[in-house]
Amino acid sequence: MRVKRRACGMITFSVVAMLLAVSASHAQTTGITNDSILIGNLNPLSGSASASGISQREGTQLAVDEINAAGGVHGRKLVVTYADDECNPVRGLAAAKKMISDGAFILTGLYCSVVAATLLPEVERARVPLVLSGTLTARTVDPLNRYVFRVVGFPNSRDIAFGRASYWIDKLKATRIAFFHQADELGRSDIESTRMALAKYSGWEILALPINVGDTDFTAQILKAREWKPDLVYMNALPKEGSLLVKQAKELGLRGEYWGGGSLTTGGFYDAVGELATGMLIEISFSDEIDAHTPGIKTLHDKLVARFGKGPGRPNVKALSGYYSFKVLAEGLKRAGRELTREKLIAAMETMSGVDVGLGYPVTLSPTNHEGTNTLTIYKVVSATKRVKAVDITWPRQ
Amino acid sequence: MAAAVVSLGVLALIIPTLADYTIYILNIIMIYSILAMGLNLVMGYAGQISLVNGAFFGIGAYASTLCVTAVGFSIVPSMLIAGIFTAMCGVVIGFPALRLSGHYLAMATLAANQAIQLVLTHWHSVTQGMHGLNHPTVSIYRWELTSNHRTFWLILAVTSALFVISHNIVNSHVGRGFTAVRDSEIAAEVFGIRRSMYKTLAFSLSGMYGGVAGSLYAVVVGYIHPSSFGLLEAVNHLAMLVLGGMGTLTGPIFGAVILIVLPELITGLAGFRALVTGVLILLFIIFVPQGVAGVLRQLVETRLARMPPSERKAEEERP
Amino acid sequence: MELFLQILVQSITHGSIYALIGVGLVLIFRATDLINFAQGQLVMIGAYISITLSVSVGLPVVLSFILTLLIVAVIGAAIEYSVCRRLMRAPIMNTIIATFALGVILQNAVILIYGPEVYSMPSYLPSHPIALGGVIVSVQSMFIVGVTIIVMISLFLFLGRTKQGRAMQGAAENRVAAALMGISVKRVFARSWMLSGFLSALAGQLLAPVLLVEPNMGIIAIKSFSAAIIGGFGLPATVVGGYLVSLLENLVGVYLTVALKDAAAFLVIVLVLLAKPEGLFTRQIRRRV
Repeated sequence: MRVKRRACGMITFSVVAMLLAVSASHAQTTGITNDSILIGNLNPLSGSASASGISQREGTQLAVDEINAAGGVHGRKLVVTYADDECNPVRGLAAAKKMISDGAFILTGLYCSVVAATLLPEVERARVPLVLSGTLTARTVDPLNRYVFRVVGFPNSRDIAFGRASYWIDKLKATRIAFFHQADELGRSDIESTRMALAKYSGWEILALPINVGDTDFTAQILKAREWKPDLVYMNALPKEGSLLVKQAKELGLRGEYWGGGSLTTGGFYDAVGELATGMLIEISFSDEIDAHTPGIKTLHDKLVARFGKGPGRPNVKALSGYYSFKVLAEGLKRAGRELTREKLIAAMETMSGVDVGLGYPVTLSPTNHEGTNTLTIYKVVSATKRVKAVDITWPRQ
Repeated sequence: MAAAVVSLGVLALIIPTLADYTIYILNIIMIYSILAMGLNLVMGYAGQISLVNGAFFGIGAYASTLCVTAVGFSIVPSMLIAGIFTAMCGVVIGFPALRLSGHYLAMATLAANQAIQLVLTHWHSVTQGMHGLNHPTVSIYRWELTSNHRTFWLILAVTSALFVISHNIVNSHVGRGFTAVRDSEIAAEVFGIRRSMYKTLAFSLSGMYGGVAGSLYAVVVGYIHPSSFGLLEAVNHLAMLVLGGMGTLTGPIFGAVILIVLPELITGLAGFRALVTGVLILLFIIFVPQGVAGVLRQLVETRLARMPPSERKAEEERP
Repeated sequence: MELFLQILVQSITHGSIYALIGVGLVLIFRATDLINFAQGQLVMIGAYISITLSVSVGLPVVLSFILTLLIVAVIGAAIEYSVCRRLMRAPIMNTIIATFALGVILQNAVILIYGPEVYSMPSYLPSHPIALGGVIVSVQSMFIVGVTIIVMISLFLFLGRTKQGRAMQGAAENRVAAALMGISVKRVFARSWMLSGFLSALAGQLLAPVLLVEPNMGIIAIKSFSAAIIGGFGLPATVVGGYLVSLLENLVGVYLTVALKDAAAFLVIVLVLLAKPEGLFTRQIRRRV
């Protein structure tokens, strides 16, 4: 029937039109011209992870502007395209493919582990290096993907678990560990890595206490822990759940050495918990306070405030890692030389040993290790407004 | 028929020239149109509210991926198994639908979606939970699907087949049974149409479509994770139907195209996508509830209605 | 035993919140025959407006509390007027989709305006908990339960004893009859949405110091859906439902496993709808068609 055919025709036409619009400008270059390097940057800029994604991007923007103001690398300026992965695998993969089709030399950024997990096979297939500015998951560097580098400035969650576990047993002499963790991938890999790390010791016990992201009442878990009488109380959760957890635990009288893992103490934690946090040992490896122990970090903190302003929980560690990763990338591009190819960049990155880009946390990479950091700094909470450095935990490289 | 062959030929020429990104978007559009077609059968034609489609998508993705990785089947059998398994889940979900309608059905299917997502998240031994599952490159006989360009043909074949199936269903007595149930359950019962059978069938069909779509999704994206199959996904499916048009055959396709392509075009407004989706759904459901396809159909019908009767008859009877 | 008592205390506190939100849901349903899938977002908006007024604008606490209640009530009426009234004759599916979309819009609008960061609401009550026997109770909890009781009593008096209140309960049953009885259906609709907005803002402000204020906090409304279903969308029954859901959750969480705690609310919905859709406390059979 002609009416039906008209309908089919209309559909095809509109689809083709949309397609043409979408595929409009897709040059196929390798991203390098005489005076520029095309870099793709992906972060979650909308949705629930957007606070971190936007911060990471801000740090990156600052670094890119500084690098370009100093003349770029070997006479080439960094031209960065910023895209939103929405913390969603489909959109993240689309954005990455678009950048690659548009000729990006390398991809950078990322915060959400779901997007990272989706992109790992893609960058390998497309043979495009991926220099991470974020993500906590160890799957980005283990198993080794030669195109992926993790130069975030703080260790991945598995390495952290190993480092801290040894410290607990060797230095703190802990025997009964109440382990509050999120019931998601990071949380589970946290406790699994911890158990693996503790396996070589004896005389310890762990009580696993999973909490759900989005939950607001942890009475059940806290009471269970209280009955168990731990000597070490470990908590690792996102700031919102973490603040509630610490608050409720203190209010319900859960005693022990409190250890705040991961990003627990970032983003508004101290506003919410106040003096209840005093005495805790905490794990942020980049200090986001003004009394930071490395002058380079204080300068960066001020620059970020000057350019992007302050807000609840901002500037924060994510901005620092966004900045840090690009400074490391610039060093890698420099080492690769003027005759730049992706393979040469990979080889150049792998030559870095103890490289300090002015923020502490030196980077060491090799052909068998693409995780740049192997130090974890522990702080002690002295009051609701003051933290001091307690100890540096270091571990040998694989 | 000739038109189909010609278009296939044209496609065979154009497709290899398109960039990887473009083909990927096409593949995603087709996968989502399968989802929309399935949901359309149960919501648009049978009139049953289903907020559980995201979970069907997830069940299909996991079932298929596990068939490929754990059992070692190739992609086509895995996809079929996923479709059948999810269809059976659809029957199970359809069961409470027999006694519920309207708001209660919405809440029940919503709760079911959340519950299934929790199962996918916490059943570590099977699904690896929050670690997600990687889907390897698969092949059909000896043809390796190493790129989106190749996978395109598989997805095109499946989508077209499912489109033809839904077309046949809608125009058969089953389809008429669905619309009878939608328009008036009492009247349908009076005419001897067994509501329970049709409602269950509708849910199981939406399950099958969702399952097949999930399987293809795993192939294209390569990694699946429980967080992709929750409430947000259900909203996306709803958006496709509302914007594209419920109760029409072409509506789901329009909906899929709009949902996938529109955000890719407005790349500038990063934070606005979700908001714009919500606003569009609301505006359409109030002012244009028949969706884009419905509007087009109205235009066509108006044109037909304006013709003098003799010409109109000739138009309608043209092959 | 002490553990159980502590669980009980916690359940009563959280159950009160679920009950407040659930009553808001039921009010709209009984007046307009519509389930507001954006109820949780109204709660969230209440919390955000409260923070804006008391922290950013700097109004005195009591004033911002009351102002927030009024503002969200007005928002509720605005929603009813702009969205629901247009859908009065539309199929049920359309109204469900509409309120759903509304929830999405509200949530994302908040993310855009306030950012996805977590805000903390200062608690204006003393924060050190009180120990009663072996059980620890926070002042905030007592405040929540106290306010809930007062509000519930006032609400039931209003609904049962006043003309407008009774009108609100009956209008959904039969709009034509209600109109014939001289009840302005439109006014009933508007009032029920306003009251529901009021209750949501109340719940949001009670919640805010206990939780942290963030765009996802509306998800708590799912528990209230469970409560309303248990209660068969009847008013006192929904309140009981709220406490039951909270108790069940906490029991499952402590004695079984935490992972199933969330599932408890969903399972309740599914099981009750399967077995006794008219609610656990209703005796008459729901209309089937």
